[in-house]
Amino acid sequence: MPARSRFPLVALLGLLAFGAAAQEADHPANRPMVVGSDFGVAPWMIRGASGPEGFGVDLMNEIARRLGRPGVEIVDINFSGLFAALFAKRFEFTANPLNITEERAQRMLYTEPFFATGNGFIVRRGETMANLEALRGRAIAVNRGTISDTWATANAERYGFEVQRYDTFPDSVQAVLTRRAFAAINEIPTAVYAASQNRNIAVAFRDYTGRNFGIAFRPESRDYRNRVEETIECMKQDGTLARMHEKWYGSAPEPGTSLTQVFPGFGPPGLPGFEDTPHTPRCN
Amino acid sequence: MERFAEYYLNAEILLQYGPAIIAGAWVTVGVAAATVAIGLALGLAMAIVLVARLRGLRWLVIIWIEVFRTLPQLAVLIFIYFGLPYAGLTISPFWATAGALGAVLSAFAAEIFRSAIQALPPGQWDAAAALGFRFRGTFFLVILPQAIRLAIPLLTNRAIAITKGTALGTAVSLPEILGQAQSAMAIAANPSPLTLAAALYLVLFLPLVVASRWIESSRVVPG
Repeated sequence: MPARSRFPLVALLGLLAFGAAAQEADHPANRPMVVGSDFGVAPWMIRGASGPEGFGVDLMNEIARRLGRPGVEIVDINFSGLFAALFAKRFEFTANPLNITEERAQRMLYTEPFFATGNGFIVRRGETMANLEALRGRAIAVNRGTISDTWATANAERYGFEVQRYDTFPDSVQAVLTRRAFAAINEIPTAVYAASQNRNIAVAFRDYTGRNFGIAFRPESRDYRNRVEETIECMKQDGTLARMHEKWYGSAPEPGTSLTQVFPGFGPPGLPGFEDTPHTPRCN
Repeated sequence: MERFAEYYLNAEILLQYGPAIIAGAWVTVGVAAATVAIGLALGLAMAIVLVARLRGLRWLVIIWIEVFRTLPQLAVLIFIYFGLPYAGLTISPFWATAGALGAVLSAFAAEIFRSAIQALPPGQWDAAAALGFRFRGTFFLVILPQAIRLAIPLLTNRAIAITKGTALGTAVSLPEILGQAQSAMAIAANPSPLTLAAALYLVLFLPLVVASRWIESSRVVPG
């Protein structure tokens, strides 16, 4: 009888151990780190002659190095399928320029912010745009499902413009070039870089909205999220992120933005998933 | 299982984004209807050109058929939407999608009509001639009605296969079911909208499949 009564406890311990093992199995230390991103968002994630390159690629390699993982594998996935793939465990966390929003933070765990952004308006060279009122009666192209899409959907009525949604960022720029849309909206850094590479387009208007990029995890990956966040905090402290910004965006980051500022606790301050635990990041 | 329900059957998300996705269903219905109308009408016209041996047009039609049977639907669509504006022709997402799918359907439909016409016994032509019909009367009153009945099973199959391509419209900003669902999925960081989209495709296309069976069994000439 005593042996029998102990059985549930043993089973429970076994289950707990299995649960922990399953967590660990989602990001095994001896395997390359698997992350997910859409490609074509220069200079964050593009296909170079020798594989993926860009700010995001350097960032992921550095995170993997600091975590002690033997390399990085980047899964190419359209933005519109990114979250479904994350929840289906196709990769460990997101690697694209992903905005932190309240709505998304309810379903995923974010790291703290590490890159300030806003809406950049790409137009054909020669066109001008003084303010958002200039959009009245015109068509705006966005990359489907991105934060630009959310912004455009929410503000279409207020500013009186029509929204066209495309599968990729290059398609939305193509819509501007073919005069289907007056402007394409994307993240400011992305828009500025695209305009520097294509002489037919220009960034006519920048709207810094206080938004930031962060990395998103599945809700159960809390410990792992915290470990990755520590590596990012270290990169802010030792200037690694600032150097990467300079390398890929051609200038040092504005002082006092989330590229260099370390936030207390884990996760995005003030949003779901934030963990108010003061800590000093363990750096290596 | 709980996780699955949270990710794929989230009632809160479905209530919030359902209306936009259902609005997308009407766009899908519209494009599908336009595709079938364009494809069948153009296909029949081209089959007539082939059978009537109109010399100049014949080669144009053959080139059209071979090109659109060969090219992937998405390639045709992207070309029409992003390519033609450079030639001064800007077509809306709705008509670009219906036009691309309609062109592909027309190529297959033309071949189906042609083979159905040629499959009729030559005696039908001879008999009509014996009754004093000229080409036009023979073709439209005797041959074509029989050929269309022969062609129906093949046509319905092909039409359903190609109208499902309306989902490709997402590539050119057509706000149809799949596109609306993908937007909602990314904004809410939850794939439940995809479940609704899949359900809507079933609701739209299942009746079509059933109807095609019915048409096939009631309209085809009995053996």
